[in-house]
Amino acid sequence: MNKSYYPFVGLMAGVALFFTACVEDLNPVLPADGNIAYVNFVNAAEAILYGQNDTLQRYNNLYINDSINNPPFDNYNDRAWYPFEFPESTIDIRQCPRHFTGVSAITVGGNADVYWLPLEGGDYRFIYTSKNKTYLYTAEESLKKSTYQMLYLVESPETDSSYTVVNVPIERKERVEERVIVQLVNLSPDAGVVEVYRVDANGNEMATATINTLTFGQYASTEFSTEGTKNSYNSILLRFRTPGGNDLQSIAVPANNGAVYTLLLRGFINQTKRSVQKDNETMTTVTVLPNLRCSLRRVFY
Amino acid sequence: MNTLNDKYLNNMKQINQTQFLQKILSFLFRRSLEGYLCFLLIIITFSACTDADRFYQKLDRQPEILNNYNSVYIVGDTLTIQGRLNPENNLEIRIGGVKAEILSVTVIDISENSPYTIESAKVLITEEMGIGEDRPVSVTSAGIIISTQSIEIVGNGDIGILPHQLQLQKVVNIPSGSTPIYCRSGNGHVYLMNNKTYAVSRVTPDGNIEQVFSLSACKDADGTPFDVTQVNAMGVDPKEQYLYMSLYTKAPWATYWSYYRFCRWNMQNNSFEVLNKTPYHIYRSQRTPEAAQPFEGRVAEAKIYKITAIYPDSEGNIYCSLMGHFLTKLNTDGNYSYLFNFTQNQSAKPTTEDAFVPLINNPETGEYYSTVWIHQFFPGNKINYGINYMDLKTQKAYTRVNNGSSLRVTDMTTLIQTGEYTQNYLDMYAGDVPYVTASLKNFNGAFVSSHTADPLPVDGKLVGLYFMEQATVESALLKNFYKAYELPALCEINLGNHTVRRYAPRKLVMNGYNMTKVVDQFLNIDEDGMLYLTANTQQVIVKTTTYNNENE
Repeated sequence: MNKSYYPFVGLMAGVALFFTACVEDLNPVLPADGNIAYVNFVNAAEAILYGQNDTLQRYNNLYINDSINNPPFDNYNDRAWYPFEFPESTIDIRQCPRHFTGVSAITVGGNADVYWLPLEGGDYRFIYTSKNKTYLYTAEESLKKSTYQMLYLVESPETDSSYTVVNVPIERKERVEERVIVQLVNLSPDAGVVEVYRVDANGNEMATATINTLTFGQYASTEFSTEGTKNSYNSILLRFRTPGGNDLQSIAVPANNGAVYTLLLRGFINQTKRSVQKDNETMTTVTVLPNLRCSLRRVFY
Repeated sequence: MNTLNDKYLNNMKQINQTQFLQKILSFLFRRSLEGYLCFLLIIITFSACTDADRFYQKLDRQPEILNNYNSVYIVGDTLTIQGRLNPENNLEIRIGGVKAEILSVTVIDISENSPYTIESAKVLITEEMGIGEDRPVSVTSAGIIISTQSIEIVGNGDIGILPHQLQLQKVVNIPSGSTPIYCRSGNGHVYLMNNKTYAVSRVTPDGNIEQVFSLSACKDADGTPFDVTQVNAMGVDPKEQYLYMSLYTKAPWATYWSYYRFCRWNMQNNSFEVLNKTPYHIYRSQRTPEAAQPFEGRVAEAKIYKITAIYPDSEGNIYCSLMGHFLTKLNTDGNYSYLFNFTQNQSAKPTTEDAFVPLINNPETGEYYSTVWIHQFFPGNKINYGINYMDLKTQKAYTRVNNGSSLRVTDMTTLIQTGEYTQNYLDMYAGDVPYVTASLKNFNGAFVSSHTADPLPVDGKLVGLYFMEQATVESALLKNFYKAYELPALCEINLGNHTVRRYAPRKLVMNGYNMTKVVDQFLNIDEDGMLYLTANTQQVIVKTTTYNNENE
């Protein structure tokens, strides 16, 4: 090739590259190639709130996989909080993450709204401890791609000292107009089997209402029509009861069109003695007062 | 003063384009075909640069707004919008769909040491923009419309629901040792109970006091008079026919039974009626679960012990607080039942009579059962909070949550919590402006504060006295600042449509009376909407009357 062509060819190649760069599509790259599961951790245990200040009462922590700080779950030069801290015991929903941003100074939405921690799909160990690292419970969970799940740490009814994590998956669907989806969860260790029914503005049971029978750790989703809710404080009025028996708790779920809620029945129905780890070697006994209650969490929309 | 556009152009000028092009062209045109192609490509390339230039110009013409203005404005306020407004390009600001009058546009530095500038436009808020929440704000410049954060416009906060300004005026001094009892007659009458003799007097709006009841009237159904050791509660029905009372008679010496009686005195025909008489054994072993039952049923048959508050409604139903642990209802058919079982204050320790009556013996421990057990054993819809005041007409119960951070509303028909409203309050030391007539969200009078008296429920709304702290602040600077806002203000809170309105024009003239935190309370209202309340730490009953402005 004649050397005088070289500058020309070089220039042409450069221009071609320039235009190639301009027309090339940019593909968004997701972390872990999109193999992401979304988790919301809730410390719904009751007995540890009765501990003394130096035991499990305050600021329970959550480690992921290893209770020693290792990358990526380290402090990143103090720019992130790890281990995850559950908020103090006065807050009804002790969840983490509890912020969109991870910065505790910025809180968006209510305490009961659900925030998600994205984690790469796979097998995990979730280690719950006190602030001074008394080991409380370790849960092993397998997280699958594109799933959403809420993990509730609660007292297990099996023994007076055991805990369990109730894994409540929730499917992210398209918004359903003129409907409210309520996911009902029974987290009460001693309430037994419960039913849920809907009442009208006069407190009368509605014939069309769906009743779900739930034992401890069970959950079910139900769609409720928002029709006619103007007469009932713009709410869907729900009651928990023993099967065909006494009412246990009631709640008004806002009839926000298309919203998805999780409704928890939680706490103890009876006064209960529970053993709590005072430290990693010794146990202490606490008396849990009856505190059966409902908590409502807005999940989507 | 440089703008962003100027800086961009200056940078471009630093490239010596002429020299560069001369070299390129002299090379290219040595060969015709290749040169032609290269020239074409360069033209295209520089054409792209021109497009970029035009795009930057378009961006520069597009207004940008700093989201740094307030969320609430009163009619007559000035709203300042800052950003890249390009006022030379037919700037137009619209609020609530109405073109706003631009008072001024100035150019200001972004910050002290910044070379960049922005424009700052001031516009006047007018009533035509619409009173209420979510009034849209848009900025148009060079034909490009930007919608920005909406605002709430509050109207003239000095106008009230009632036509005339109000003042406080004394009705009577409260005799020493007397306490107002519950009465919502709607005619301004107030009833006072003497805490020693338990005599009850009616106080009319003009200050007349008339005794309407004395304990000498107490007789059982067979006509036998009985002694009263203590009156636990009294309440007058809205028609002022009956005075209801809970009476305790201690077991006389050498007897085994004390008695709790639930009675009513007919003030129209002066007749006394014992609705319920419940015996209470002096020995612990006899205070059994069986003896405490039946809890519910016909009023004469149910076991009704210590009632600490009585709330009769206009339809003849009577609501009773059992020492704050339960709320019961005696309906017009004579049936007595438990509505609420308030589980928020429980103890695992043996119950004492200060906490609850009846005490019930646990034969296994030889102690009294705890209130935990009581709440499990007794009926009623369990809710894990208490109730602070009620609107019996609309069947709403109100609860101050967490010492006043929010107000919880519970429907007394379905027994379900139907709402919770977070209060907003102003920070005096930050110079916050009071919004007296505003949306509930922006009303900053601390409507559930535990430091002010509970409001009076009136037809589903709440009427209360707010901004007392700003009206009585001692700091001369703050006093002078808040003087312009006509405080304190009587306000009507409507939780139904989430609004708050000033009850009467301008401030409430206190005339030296002081509504003491927590202690003083609203008592009643009359046909003209005048309010009756205690003042000066329950030393005096005052009422609102029309205030003559000429007095000022």
